[in-house]
Amino acid sequence: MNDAAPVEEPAPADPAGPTPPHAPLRRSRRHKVIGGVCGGLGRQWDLDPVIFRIVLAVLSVGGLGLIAYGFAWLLIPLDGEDENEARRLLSGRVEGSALTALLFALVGCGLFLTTLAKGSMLSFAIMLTLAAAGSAYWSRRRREVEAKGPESVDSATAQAVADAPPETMAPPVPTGPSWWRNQHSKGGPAYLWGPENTPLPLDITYRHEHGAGAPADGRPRPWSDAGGPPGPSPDGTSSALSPRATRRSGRPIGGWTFLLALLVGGATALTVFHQEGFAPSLQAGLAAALVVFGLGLVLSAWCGRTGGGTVFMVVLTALLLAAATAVPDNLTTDWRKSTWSPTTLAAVRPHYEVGSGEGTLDLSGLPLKGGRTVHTSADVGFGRLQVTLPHGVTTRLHISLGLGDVQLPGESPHDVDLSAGGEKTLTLPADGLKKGEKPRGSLVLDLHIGAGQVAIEHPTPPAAPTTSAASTPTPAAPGPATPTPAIPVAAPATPPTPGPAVPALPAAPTPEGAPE
Amino acid sequence: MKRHRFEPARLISGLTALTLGTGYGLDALGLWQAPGLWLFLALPAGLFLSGLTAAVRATTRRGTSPPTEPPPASHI
Repeated sequence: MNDAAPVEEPAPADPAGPTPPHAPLRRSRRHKVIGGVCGGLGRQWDLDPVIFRIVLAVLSVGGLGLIAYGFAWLLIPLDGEDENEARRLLSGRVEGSALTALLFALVGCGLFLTTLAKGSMLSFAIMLTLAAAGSAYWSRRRREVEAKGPESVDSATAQAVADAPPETMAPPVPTGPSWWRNQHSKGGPAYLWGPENTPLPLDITYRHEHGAGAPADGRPRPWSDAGGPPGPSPDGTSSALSPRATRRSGRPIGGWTFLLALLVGGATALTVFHQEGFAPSLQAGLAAALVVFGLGLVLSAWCGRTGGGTVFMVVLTALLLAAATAVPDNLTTDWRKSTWSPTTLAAVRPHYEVGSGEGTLDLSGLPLKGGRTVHTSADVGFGRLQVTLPHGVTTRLHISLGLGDVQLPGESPHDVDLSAGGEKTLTLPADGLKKGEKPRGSLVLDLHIGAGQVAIEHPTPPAAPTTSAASTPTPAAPGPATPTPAIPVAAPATPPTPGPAVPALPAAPTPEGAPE
Repeated sequence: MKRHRFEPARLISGLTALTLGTGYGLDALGLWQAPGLWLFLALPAGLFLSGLTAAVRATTRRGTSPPTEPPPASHI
């Protein structure tokens, strides 16, 4: 609905067109950057196309500009043709231009839909479109005045529109050689860029054959002759041999260095990959390639020649290497999904690990009571780690995060704060407790994630597990081991007894876990 | 391969690449702990030094070589 405004911008031109003999709106062939839409609009409304370009570029941030541009491209025919791209497209003559226009509109629609929720964006876009339309209209009025004289419009417009033409000025006086010639070099005309002053016999004969290129004094000048290509000057022949020729001597070895670096790097990476993980092999391969590049450069200090390409490859490899060192060591090349839900204290492992993938550590079924403390840690190289905390338990978290987001209970899942290189230690108070009730135990979690998200949450049905957990000890008591559950309950203040107490508990949670 | 005049700039950039490659390679094999970003900073430092050397060398060479050449006094 909103894209209609810019698209229909040409539409008022057609009804207004017949009154003065306006050319119909066409996409410009000459003043085109992408599709020539802005050039055509500029010609139609007698305004600099750059204004339309800027407005469209700004509107493109919200997608509207792209939609408008795409539709205008499709609907306005190109200069000199009588069919527009949309008609061609629909009649089966699919061309790259029409597809590009369609792509513009599609991308614009996507962008527009993503920014639809932001009302301020929309009002800004409308205001900008109105301003552009206003200036286009004003510019057109001005052209009418110029064409018909000030009588055709009201006096206020005529006064505002009339302005003096620019004053004529004398052409600039030529002074000396232009700045792009290196005037300091005594060895002939050394240019800052352009052709090198190397002798090319082919070029000289070319000049002799086409004598028109040579000036009257018989000395051809580069850049000044109209017909000839910008070749080297014969004067540069003597001087060119001196500094440049000596510096450029030697066979280029950059290509061989690159090839060798590729081979050595690949071989090293493969070798290390068999012994160690993905990250060390990547790092070792890149490091080996960098060493080969270094050797090639050192060699070229004495013989052979390497250029900027090798230096560029060195920089690129080093950047990749630095990125590879940041990759977590335990990263795997496959995506794994692991879920751990220990329901007994004995089943809690000291360490959980996923290289890359999704790890879910569900501790909600943990029968933690009597003020006991459980330590565990989880490590995810790349991916997501979701921890569900048990009820009524104080949790001390130590999170070390390479890059990503930590989501604590109570935060919206859409609230993503990207942070890099953070270590956090925090304590979450026990939840789901009645007033005056003491936390049943404490949990110490050491979470480590290379890149990704850590989500910590409480179990979804908060009331049901609490009551069941509170009620289960009574049905569990007449279970298989009647006297043993009484021991941990009776000895709440004895944390250094995890060894004997843990084997006693498994009997109790199994019936407890069954109803869940 | 034919030898040419010694070019210190190439040597410096080559040594920089060698340092980086060796350091990170040892780090990857677990033989040495790379000091993180500091090692990487050797790259811009080395390239800067190399560029400086090339510039200095070009100026000195330009200062010495022209007297040997007969200046063609034709061009404007």
